[in-house]
Amino acid sequence: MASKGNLTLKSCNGKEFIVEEKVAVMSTTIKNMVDVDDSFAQGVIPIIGVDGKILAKLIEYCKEHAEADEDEEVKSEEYLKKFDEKFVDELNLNDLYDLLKASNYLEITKLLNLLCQKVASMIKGKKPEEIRRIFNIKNDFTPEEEEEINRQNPWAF
Amino acid sequence: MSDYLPYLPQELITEILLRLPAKSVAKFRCVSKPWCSLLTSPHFIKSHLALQKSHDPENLILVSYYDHTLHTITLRPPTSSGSNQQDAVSRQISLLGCQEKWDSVIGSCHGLVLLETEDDNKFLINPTTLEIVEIPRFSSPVYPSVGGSMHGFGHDVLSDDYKIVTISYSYDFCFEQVTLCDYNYVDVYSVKKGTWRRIGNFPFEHGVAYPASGVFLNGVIHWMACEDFTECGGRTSLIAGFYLDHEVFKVIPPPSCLDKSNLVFIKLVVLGGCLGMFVRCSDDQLDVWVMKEYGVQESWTKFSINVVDEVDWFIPICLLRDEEIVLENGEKLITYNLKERTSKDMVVTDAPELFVDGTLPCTESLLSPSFYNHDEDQQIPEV
Repeated sequence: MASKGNLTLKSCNGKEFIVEEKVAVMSTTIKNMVDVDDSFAQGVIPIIGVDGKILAKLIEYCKEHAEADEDEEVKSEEYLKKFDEKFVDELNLNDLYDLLKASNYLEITKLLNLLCQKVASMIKGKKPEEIRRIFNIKNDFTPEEEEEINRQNPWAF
Repeated sequence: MSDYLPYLPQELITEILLRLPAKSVAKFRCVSKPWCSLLTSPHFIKSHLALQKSHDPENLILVSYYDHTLHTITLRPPTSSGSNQQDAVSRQISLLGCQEKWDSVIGSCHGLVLLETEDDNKFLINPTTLEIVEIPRFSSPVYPSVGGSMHGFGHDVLSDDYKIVTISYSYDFCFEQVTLCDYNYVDVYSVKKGTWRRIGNFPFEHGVAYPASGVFLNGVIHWMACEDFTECGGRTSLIAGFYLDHEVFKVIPPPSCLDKSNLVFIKLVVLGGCLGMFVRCSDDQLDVWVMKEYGVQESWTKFSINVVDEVDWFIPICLLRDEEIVLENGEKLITYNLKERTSKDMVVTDAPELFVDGTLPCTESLLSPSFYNHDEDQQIPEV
């Protein structure tokens, strides 16, 4: 059992992580669980659908940000910005995708924001047909309809 | 490496699309019918705007002095240092079917820009989507030879409307008494309704060294103005704020240590989301005052820009990355680094040779200047 002020998080593949409460409650979902039911604070919190590798990444991110919230001197805004940049740059696409879903489920707003921004910057220069492939979307426009829509936004091309 | 993203919930896809530049949003409207309806919906466009509202502007908009054409300058974020690096790129804006000769940029808010032509006609445009709407004139008691006007443009959160405010003033000469009687009127145009309304008089004297367009911040349009000292006939300068929600004027407190009777050569500017004003102290020094906390007199903070022989007639436009002020003098743009206290010329590709006073920052948005005008045949009302 985790000592006072710490929480134990358990991934879906059984890996346990002991983290400080202030780090864990960066996740609104975990915060609500702990607030509502005291037994979570004592025992093990299962993190459904998130494996050990992704959970470790989430904790790494939350730790930096929780510490920065507490002490701006040591971890400045500039430091965090650099950390965030490096954090997303080092992710491969699979991890990015898993982290997106996990941070959405766990409601880690800052991280979700960062990851969405990352995907947006990855896709902003793509062609519509590439976007359809990436997001697995079927084009339900006729060629004429598609042309008409593009004619309405000539400045975008 | 494949860039295929397996199934993502729609809410996450929307969150990602909200963070795209305006151009990409428009480009992706043809992806599918559901995407098209999402990416054109007013709700999406508003949320998209809300996420773009960082303090750092993406573009500057300016009018060329020689041929009265309109240009935007795209400011680029810093990249790894290279000797041939360009800081910005200028490009001329061609608005479809528009042959106007532009005179000045009046205001910029949420990606919409209010412009005036040489013939005093006003147009609201979106320089990103290139949409343009003419603003009707209101019948004015002002004789151009003995009067003038100052304008402002901004967003009213209360009615979720964009408003144009015009302060008109004219002099009624009373030759026998050798005095001038001022007539001031304030008119407000609602972009939503497409109508002008006269709301009353300007409670202050317009008499400032340079009549300038109002500066919009926090739902308030700010102008430099002055007030009469009744006893001795002197004048004191003030910052007049027009609150767009309740359509009233209030005085914004200036830095307490400034000599209010001598506040000349001052222009207002928005720097990093704060109201700023600057005082020219000497040929090589500009004092820039910034009200760190809006409306709080004690929060005015001063810093000086010293550049020998350089700073003369440079006007601050905006703040970049919290450390660089962009200034212009009608010929070129410079950045002044507040930490290092050094200035350097901005390398702007394809910039016009000379430009008109009043270069403004603007963001990129998908807002349409005719967003609210559902009725195509609106009558221009008489006021």
